[in-house]
Amino acid sequence: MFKRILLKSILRRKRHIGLALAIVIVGTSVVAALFSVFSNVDVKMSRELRRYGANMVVLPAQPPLAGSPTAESQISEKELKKIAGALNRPQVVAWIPLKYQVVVINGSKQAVLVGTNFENMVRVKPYLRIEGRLPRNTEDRGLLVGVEAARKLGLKIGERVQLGSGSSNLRESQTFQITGLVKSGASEDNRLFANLMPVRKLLKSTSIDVIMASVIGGMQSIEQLRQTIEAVAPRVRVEPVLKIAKSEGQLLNRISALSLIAAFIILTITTIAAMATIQSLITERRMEIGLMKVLGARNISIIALFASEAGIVALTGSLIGYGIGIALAQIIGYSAFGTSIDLNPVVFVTVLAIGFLIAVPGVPFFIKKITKIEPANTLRGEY
Amino acid sequence: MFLRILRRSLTINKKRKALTISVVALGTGVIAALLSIALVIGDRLEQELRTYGANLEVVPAVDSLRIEINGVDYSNTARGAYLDERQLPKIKTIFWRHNIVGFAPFLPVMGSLKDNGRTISLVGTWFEKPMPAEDEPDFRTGVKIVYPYWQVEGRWASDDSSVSEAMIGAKLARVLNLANNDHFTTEVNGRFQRFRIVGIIRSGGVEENQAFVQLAVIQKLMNLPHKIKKIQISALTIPENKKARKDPAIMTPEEYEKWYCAPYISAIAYQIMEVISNSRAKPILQVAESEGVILSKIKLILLLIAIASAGASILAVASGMTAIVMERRSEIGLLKAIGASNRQVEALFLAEAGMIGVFGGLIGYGLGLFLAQIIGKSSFNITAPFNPAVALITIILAVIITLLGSLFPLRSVAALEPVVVLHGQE
Repeated sequence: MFKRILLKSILRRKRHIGLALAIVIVGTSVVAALFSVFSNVDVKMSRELRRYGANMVVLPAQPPLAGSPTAESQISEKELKKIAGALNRPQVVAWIPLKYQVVVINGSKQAVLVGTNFENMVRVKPYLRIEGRLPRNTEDRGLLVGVEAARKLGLKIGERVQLGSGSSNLRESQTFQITGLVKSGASEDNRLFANLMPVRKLLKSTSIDVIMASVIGGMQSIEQLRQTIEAVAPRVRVEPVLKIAKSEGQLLNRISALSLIAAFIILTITTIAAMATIQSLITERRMEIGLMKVLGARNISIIALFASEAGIVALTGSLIGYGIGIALAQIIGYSAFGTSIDLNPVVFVTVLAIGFLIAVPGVPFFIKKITKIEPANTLRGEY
Repeated sequence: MFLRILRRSLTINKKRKALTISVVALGTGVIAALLSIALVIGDRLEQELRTYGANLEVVPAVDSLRIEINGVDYSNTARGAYLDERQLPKIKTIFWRHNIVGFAPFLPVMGSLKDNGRTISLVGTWFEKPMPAEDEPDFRTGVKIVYPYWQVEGRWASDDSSVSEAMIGAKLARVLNLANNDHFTTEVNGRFQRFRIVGIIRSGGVEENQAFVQLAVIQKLMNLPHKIKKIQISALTIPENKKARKDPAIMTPEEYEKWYCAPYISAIAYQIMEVISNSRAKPILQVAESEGVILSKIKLILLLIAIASAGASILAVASGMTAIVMERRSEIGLLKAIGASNRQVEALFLAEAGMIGVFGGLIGYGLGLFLAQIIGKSSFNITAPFNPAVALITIILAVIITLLGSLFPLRSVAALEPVVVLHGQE
C-alpha cells in the first residue's frame, strides 16, 4: 500500500517531482563544482606561482664570499648525487645545479660562466626570454649568452668562442658555440650559460656552488625537503628564497580565504533559495494531506510517505548534480589552470548532505505542519 | 481592472510573495557581492604582488659588463658610467608617479677588512629616506620599501650619515662572526671607515652576502659625489598586451599616447628614462612578467566564481517562479473561466514578476554589499564601497532573471484548460 502510494505519487506528479529534482540538481551541481575547484585552488595557484622561479636553495656549509673557493664552500659530486635523490619528489617542479666561474673570453675580456642543466633551467626560471635555441644535450658545448654580455662583448648567435678558466692562457681554453641569447632584466643578462658537463671539464672540477629548486606547497614543503636533504648531506644548508617563498605564502593564504568564504556564501544562499522553493511546493499539497487523513491515514505514515519521496528526489538529484558539478569543475580547471581538478571524497559527502538539506526542508517544521492540518478545513479550501 | 487585480494579487498572500522576493534577493545578492569585490580587488592585488620586490632596474646606458657572483662584484666599480643621485626625486614627477611604490639607489664597492684583510662586498644605499614629493608630502623610500620580504634581526639602519651604521647579510655575519652592535672597520679606496652593525638581513638571496651602508658614506670614500650605479624601482603596473610590447618608436601617435598613458611596465620604464639622463630602465622579468600572469589568473578565478553563482541564482529564481505559477494554476483557470485572455493572464504575471524583481534586486544589492564587506575584509582586507552602477545592474539583473524565470512556466498558461484545472485534476 505504502509503496504503491509512493510510486503513484512520484509517477503521477511528474511535473512537481521534476521541478523539485531540478532544484536539487542545480543546487548540488554548483556546490560540487565550486567545492571541487576551491579544494584544489591552493595547490593549483601554488603551481602557477612557480612562474616566479626558484623558492628554495641548497648551499654549501660556507658559501664563498670573495676569493677562490675551498672544499668547504662547494657541494661535492657525491653530495650532489645524494641531494638529487632527495629532490626526486612530486612536489619538486624542477631543480638545477649551478657552477659559477669568472672566465676569459677569446683571451681578452672577462665574464661569469654558469654551468647548469638547460632543460630544467627553463622550468625553474620560466620567465627567461630566450632568443635562438638551447644547447641540445647535456654534453653539447653550446653557449647561451645574456643579452647585456652579448652586447658588451660583441657576441652573436652561431659564433664560436674560446673560453679560458682563470688566466688568459689560451692553452687552457676550450671552444663553445653560441646557440642563443637570454634575457631576464637581472643578473642573467650579464652571464654566459653552458651545460654542466663541459664546464666541469673546462674548470677541471666536479663540485658545484649551489642548487636552486622550484617547489610547490609553500614553506611547509620546503621545511620537509630541508629535513630530508640535511639528513642525507649534513654539510649543506637548505634555505627558502624569502623573496619568493614569503610572498607566495601570503598570497596563497589570501586566495584560499577568498575562495573559502565565497564558496561558503554561495553554498548557503543556494541552499536557502532551493529550500524556500521546495517549501512552496509542499504547502500546495495540503489538500492531498487532508484527503489522506480523512481516509484514515495516520500522521506517521503521511510523514513517512513525504520523507521517502523527498529522499528519493534528494538522492537522485544529488547524484546527477554531483556528476554535472565535477564536469563543470573540470571545465573551470582547464580554462583557469590548464589542468584537471582532483576529485575529493569530502566534496561528494557534502553534496549528498546538501541534496538532502534542500529536498527535506525543515523536517521538524514540516512534521508540525502535517499534524496540524485539519482535514475538514483544508478540504474546504480554508487556510 | 488590470491594475486592481495586480494590486490585489500583490497584497494578498504576502507570505508567498515574500518568499519569492527573498529567493530573488539571495540570488542577486551573491552576484552583487562578487561584482562589488571584483571592482576593487584589482588594485589591491597589484599592491599585494609588490611584496615580490622591485620590478624595474635602471642602469647607466653605457657601462662595462658586470662580473658578479653571489652578490660579490668582481668588476671595477671605480670606473665606468654612473647615474646621478640628484635626479632621483624626478622619478616621483613622471606621469605615473602615483604608481611608484618606492625606489632605492645602489653603489656597490669592494672593501677589505682591517682585521684580517678579507674582501667584503659593501653596498651604499638608502634605507628609508624621506623624500617629500609634490602631492605626497610623507613619501619615504629606500630598501625597506623596495624589499618588503627582507627579514631583519635588529633594526633598519639610519640614513643619517653622521652615525655610519651598517646592516649586514646573515651569511656574511656568520662567516665574519659578527653580530648586532659589533663594529667593523674596512678599507675602501685607501681610506678606512668604521661601521656599527645594527641589523642582520635574511632573504635567501644574494643580499645575505653583502653589507648595506649609507650611500653618502660610500660616495665619500670612493670620491664619487652623487654617483650611483643602479636604481631598483617597485611600481604598480597592469599586464602588458601585444600592442604594449611594440617599440614606441614605430607606434602611431594615437597608439603612442594610449601606451604612454597606461601603467604598463614598459611605459613606466620609458618615462623614467626620460627623467634620468643617460640611463636604461629595464623590467625585471622574474617579477614583472610573472605578475601579469598571476594577476590575470586570480581575476579569471573571480570571474568564474561570479559566473557560476550567477548561473545558480538564475536557475534558483527561475525554479522559484515556476513553483509559484504552478501553485496558481487554479487561479489562472478561474481568470480564464471568467473571460480573461491568455495575453491578459500573461501580462498580469509578468507585471507581478517585474515588481518582485525590483524589490528582490533592491534587497539583493543591500545584502550583496554586506556580503562583499565580509568576503573582502577576511581575504584581502578591502572594503567594497557603494557603487550606483552595481546597484543598477543588480536590480536590472533581478528583473531580467525573474521575467526569464516566469516566461518558461507561463508558456504552459495557454495550454491550461479552465475546467480541468478548476476541477483539481493534473
